[in-house]
Amino acid sequence: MSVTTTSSQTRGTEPPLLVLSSSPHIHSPLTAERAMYTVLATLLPVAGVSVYIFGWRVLPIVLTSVVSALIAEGVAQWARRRSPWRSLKDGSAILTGLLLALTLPASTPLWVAALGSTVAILLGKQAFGGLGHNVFNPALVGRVFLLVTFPQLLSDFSGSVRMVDTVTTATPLAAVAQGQTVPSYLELLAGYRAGALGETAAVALLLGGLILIAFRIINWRIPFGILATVAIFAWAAGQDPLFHLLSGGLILGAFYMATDWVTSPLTRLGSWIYAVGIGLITMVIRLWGSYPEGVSFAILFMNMCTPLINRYTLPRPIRASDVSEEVSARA
Amino acid sequence: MPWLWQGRVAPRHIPEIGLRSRANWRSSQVFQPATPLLFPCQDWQGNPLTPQVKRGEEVKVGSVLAAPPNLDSAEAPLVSQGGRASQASQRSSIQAALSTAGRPAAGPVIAAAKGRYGTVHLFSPVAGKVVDISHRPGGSGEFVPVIAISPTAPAQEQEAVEVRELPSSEESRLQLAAAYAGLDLALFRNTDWLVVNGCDPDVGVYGRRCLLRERLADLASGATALASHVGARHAYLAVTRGQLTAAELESLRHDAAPLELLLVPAGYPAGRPEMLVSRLTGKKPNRCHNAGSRRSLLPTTSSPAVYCQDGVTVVGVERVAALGYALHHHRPPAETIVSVDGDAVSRPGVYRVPVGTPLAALLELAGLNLSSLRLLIRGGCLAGQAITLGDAIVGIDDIGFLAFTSAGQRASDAGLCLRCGRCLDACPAGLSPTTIARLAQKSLWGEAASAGAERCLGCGACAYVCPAGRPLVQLIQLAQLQLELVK
Ligand code: SF4
Ligand code: SF4
Repeated sequence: MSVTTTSSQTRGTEPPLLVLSSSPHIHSPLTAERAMYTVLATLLPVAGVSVYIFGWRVLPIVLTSVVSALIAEGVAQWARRRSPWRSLKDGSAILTGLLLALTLPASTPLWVAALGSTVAILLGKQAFGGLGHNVFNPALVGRVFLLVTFPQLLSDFSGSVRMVDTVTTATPLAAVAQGQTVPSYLELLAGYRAGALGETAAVALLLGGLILIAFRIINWRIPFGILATVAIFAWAAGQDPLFHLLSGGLILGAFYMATDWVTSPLTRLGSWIYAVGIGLITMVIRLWGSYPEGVSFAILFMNMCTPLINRYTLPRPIRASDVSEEVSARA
Repeated sequence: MPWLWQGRVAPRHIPEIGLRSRANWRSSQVFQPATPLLFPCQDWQGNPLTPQVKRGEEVKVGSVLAAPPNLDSAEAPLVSQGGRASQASQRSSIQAALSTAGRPAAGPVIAAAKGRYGTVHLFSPVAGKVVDISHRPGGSGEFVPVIAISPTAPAQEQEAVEVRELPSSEESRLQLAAAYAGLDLALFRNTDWLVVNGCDPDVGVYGRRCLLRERLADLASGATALASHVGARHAYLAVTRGQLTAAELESLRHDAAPLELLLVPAGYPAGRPEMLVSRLTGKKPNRCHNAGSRRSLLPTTSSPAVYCQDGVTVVGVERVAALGYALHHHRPPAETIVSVDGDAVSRPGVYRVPVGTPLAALLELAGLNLSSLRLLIRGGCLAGQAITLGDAIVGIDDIGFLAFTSAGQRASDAGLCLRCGRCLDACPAGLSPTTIARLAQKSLWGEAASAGAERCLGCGACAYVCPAGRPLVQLIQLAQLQLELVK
């Protein structure tokens, strides 16, 4: 967007080559790349807590997932004759791989993780035309693919919890469904419960989410709207709101999945509609659906509605009332 | 709480990246360039004027340098054609005063009259000799005649030479002073609210806050006269919050008494005239449609010196101070206050310079490192215009210049839109920049127009915040230009 020109100097000396670019001449320090890496940084403590709770098994799963996401991204970009390096370094593939890994149980075989993140990148993102064009959150596409293909593997939470004696091997939501004892709030908060790798560390997730909100990287309306809707719905249905907030993948989903820039609505009003929609669908699935957990499906469903929400909430083209009269000075 | 679901009218504060805080700057001593002073034959809107002097001629303080080309120069009224009917008699009294002073003979019409014409005369603020009249690019990028005058003495030391008798009535004195200050009083005709804009409107310019501190007397007398002339119901002085200290604000409130203070929040577009109008009227801000404003050939997104819309007229504080000066001293304003900042100058600061100083001379004074200069901006970082060094001239409307050693801080590369919605959040006009830019990229100008392309202020907030580094405002400006060409 810029041309270089020789300035016709009024007096002697070397005429400098000046850049004639159009305004603005400065740019906000928050670039896409920086945002992605900040999100990644806030997920590191989550992964740390996960290692603490589930043991060293976590690391190979995360690494496999991230590396296969990177490979899939690179190959797909190369096949589409785009520069692979540019899209690899923006951090989005790493983020997809990490997020996917955090939704898997600790007993997941490595090849399943690799398959999941390859599908996430290829089907969830590159099939639509790469970052910015995808309709669904890629990590969730990968997770739902695995959930539907290997339901057994993905709901096997056995033998991996640090505090085996205090916690049952069913996830809290499944425990409720089966009438078993459920963990206390404290156990839910600290993550001493069965669940996927990243779901359990509620404190770390909340902290990371709040940091992202403080840096204005994610839109606070989305997690807030989701959590508020879930709490109100649970309360109205006569269930314990706090339990519903802390269990399952709700916090991970609300702060890290639903807030994905590409697949969430553009406007503020749209964000509210989207968030309330996710909260409602989550609770409907939790209370009446055959799956004990519904966050992934809820987010994917609302991702699908995003273009529609955008269509109705984007600023309207000119309305007569907005166009103020031109004051003609010498009409 | 509409902010919950609607975009805010003003985007969040944009930090002044790469520039240190200049809150307490004061202007330095008046500087005298060694080179002749340059006066482009243009009015405040960039409309061409016809030179009325010849090379080698001696001019006095207050001599007519250039006149509107559409009028027979011998009969050209001193003030605009479009004034109130009741002003006609007063106008003729000024004309009479002018003719007694022995105006220089009309020169040949050089500037080809095209499009709209200028409406005000250009007066010489200094006495001296016309050493050259050459065609150079003016502020709008078109070539205009530029009159070079070598002053006989520093402008400030020259006695105010009474080239003409003073008009007797208060009203015609104001007319004359307005003409000296280059203001077209006809523009203020429909003013219910008068706003004197004392906000530094962009990131990295500081001229106006210094002017508020240092030329309060001129400002107050100019504003008083202007407000009573236009019969405005309210007259405001807009000041950015935090731009002046509390004590300074208090003295402003006291000394600029007829003006109510309008405190504007800090943060980028809030000080632009469109935003001030929107604050007062409660309507969404709209692009300036001053009658007669011409589109610049160079990309410029800063706003004009006088901006009128919906009964609100916003005029820059420097023009009002010029008017006050002209009223008080009966001569055209000879100096102006501009800031110079950026990493290519070693002595950044606010300078008092004679009107007509070549920019190169000012930058030399500010310690410009010529070999490292890469980007020179007239105005601020967000809506300023990148210019070349050689032809720029410091005029009354200039508030500041920026000189950088690198080509601006931009996002590394322009990628695809990530649909993050930041540009919508930032847009003060309530548009969807990403939508309009996408349409403009596909050359769908009509669709871009119905998405509101013509209402874009060109403030640049969208391109500033876009994390993908998309050239949003540039594409929207392109659409505006295309739409204008079609008309
Ligand atoms: S430049 Fe961008 S932010 Fe500013 S008014 Fe235009 S579209 Fe809106
Ligand atoms: S700010 Fe940039 S990336 Fe975000 S929606 Fe606007 S154009 Fe797209």
